[in-house]
Amino acid sequence: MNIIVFGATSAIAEALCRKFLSENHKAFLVGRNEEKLRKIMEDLEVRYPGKIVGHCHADLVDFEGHEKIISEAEKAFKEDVDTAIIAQGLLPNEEACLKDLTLIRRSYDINFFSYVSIVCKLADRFSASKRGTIVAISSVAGDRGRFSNPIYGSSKAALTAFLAGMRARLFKSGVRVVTVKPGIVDTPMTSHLKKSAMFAQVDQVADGIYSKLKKGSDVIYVPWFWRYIMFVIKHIPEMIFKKLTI
Amino acid sequence: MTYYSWGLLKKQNLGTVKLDWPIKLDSYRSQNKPFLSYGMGRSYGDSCLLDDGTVLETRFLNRFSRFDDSSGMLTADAGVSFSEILELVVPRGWFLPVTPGTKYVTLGGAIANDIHGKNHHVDGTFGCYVESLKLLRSSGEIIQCSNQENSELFAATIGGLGLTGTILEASFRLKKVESSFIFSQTKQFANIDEFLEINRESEKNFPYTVAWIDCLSKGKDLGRGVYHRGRHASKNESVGLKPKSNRKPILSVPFYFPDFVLNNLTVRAFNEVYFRKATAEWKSEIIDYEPFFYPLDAVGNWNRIYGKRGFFQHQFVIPFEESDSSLRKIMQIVAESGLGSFLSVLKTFGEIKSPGMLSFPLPGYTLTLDFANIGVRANDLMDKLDRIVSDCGGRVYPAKDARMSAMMFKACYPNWEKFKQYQDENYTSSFWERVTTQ
Repeated sequence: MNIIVFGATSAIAEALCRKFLSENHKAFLVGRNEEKLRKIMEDLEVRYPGKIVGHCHADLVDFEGHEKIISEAEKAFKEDVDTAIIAQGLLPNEEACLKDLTLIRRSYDINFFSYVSIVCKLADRFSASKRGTIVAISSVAGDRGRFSNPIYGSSKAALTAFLAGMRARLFKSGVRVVTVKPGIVDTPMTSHLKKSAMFAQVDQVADGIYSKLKKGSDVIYVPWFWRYIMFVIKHIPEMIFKKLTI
Repeated sequence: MTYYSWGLLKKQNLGTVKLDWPIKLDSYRSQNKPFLSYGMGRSYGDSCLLDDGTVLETRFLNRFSRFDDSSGMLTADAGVSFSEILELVVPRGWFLPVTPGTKYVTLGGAIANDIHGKNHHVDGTFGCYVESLKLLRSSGEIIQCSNQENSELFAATIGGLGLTGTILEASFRLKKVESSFIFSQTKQFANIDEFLEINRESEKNFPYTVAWIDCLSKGKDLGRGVYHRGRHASKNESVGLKPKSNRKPILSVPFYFPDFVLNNLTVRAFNEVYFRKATAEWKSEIIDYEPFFYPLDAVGNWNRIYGKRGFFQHQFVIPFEESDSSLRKIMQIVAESGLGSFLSVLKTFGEIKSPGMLSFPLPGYTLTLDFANIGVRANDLMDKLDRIVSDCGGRVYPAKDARMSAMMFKACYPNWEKFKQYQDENYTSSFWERVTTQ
């Protein structure tokens, strides 16, 4: 597989990339923070020499730039890209967002609109060659709006619904759209939150995603038990749920 | 946040910063001082703990930077574990130059404690193989240290217990091996005299030597135990053998055992079985490196066997000149107290000097004893042992210590005042406060 990784500096993307490279696939990395991207590439080059074909330093809220990134990746692979991992994300300060519309817009730009733009560009290419897999990282937070994160939750809810729609649209062309819903993962993004037994480790998450991908899953909850936790959460009557501050 | 050391000591209400690239100097420096880095928390005592202040976790600094396959020079983030290093380098024909008894330590922790292993008598400490390191100071400066650049700070940082700043990255030399297997031999020895004889002989021919001692046996059985020696197996010797594929612990202690489980009777029983398992003649086998170097890593959280009260690990070294009488005396005292546990290890340190200012090993015998934290009796015993050790010019290992007195530390490590000049003014540890401010 020739994989283009958007948001390659995200902890989940990095772990997933290591997993794919360990299975002998190749990758092209796209990230915004140049120093971090360089560190990650050095690490991957030590672990899996020759498997990183190139990289691109870009801010994915620049939607106009997405076409150029994909072309660069194709040039670097010297063949078609057949897989994409989309993992950029922002866990915003909910309180600050609710007072400032520009912050909400930014959150949506990263967590939703950038995904829409990338998926649409890839959809054109993949459906033309009648193959391809798009793996997008959503979240269990998108399964139901909750007290603690109306902004993050709603951006992920929008993403989940969009991915489901595109999954249906692209199905006949043989293109897979996979929605990954991680529960709470121990990464720099959640490092300010109080750690509990519920926190999963990135390597565990990457292994879980990879094995479900191989089995052909459309929607992957990782770790697996979040499917059942969210089932319960989704079915709590609103009259009760609105009183909870989770 | 609450942080634990391996002996189950804990410190609460500490601030925490999880370091990651790029290092956000603003978020780090605005936290409550003082600081201390925390890797995998495998130090037994309080050298990895802080009474008050901010802990800088290095777990996310876990990437490799460069690996020169021809010279064996590896550069990696300080949060990379020895376990991850082995998974990378062993299949490519390389091994750690020095390894402690667990692979679950970070590169930074290995340098800060200047760890030693079964091969000290020929290879010295880990610090001997460190080429350079990047050190973060509380001023925000990132300083490159090596024998050629900032060499005094380099020497202070090796074995410096994290007190000179946070090690971010380091380069060190691996050693070439032909296989992932070890040619290993084990044999019983009846008492300390037999140990001394076997040890003298074994050290000449084997790079890895260590002895398990039954610390409860007395009289003519004083110092009986099992001797282990080994070397890396050649390619020919390991033909047809498959390296282990799953290197994670298969068992894990799921909860803290009740305190009564580990007592004199159960330890005696364990020691008897363990002693008898070995044979009177040398038993040879070719085994994977894991059970040879890391027997305890097979059981996750084995420290929970000691119960919530935790335990002390007391390791000291006695110079060769003093050892004949002192070693025997110490073993007699421990046997009579009946307080030791199933983990007692005896080894010799060699002549190779470490570059570290506060490095622990010196040429002599090093004995490691575990004591369940049962209170005054255990503490009194360790104080008694300290007096003997200090009288004969030996010293206690800070990486394991939780209770050595300031007087003992200052007497054993006269270099401490020179070291203090290189300590970062905003870094300290519970250990350092205890041994320098009494």
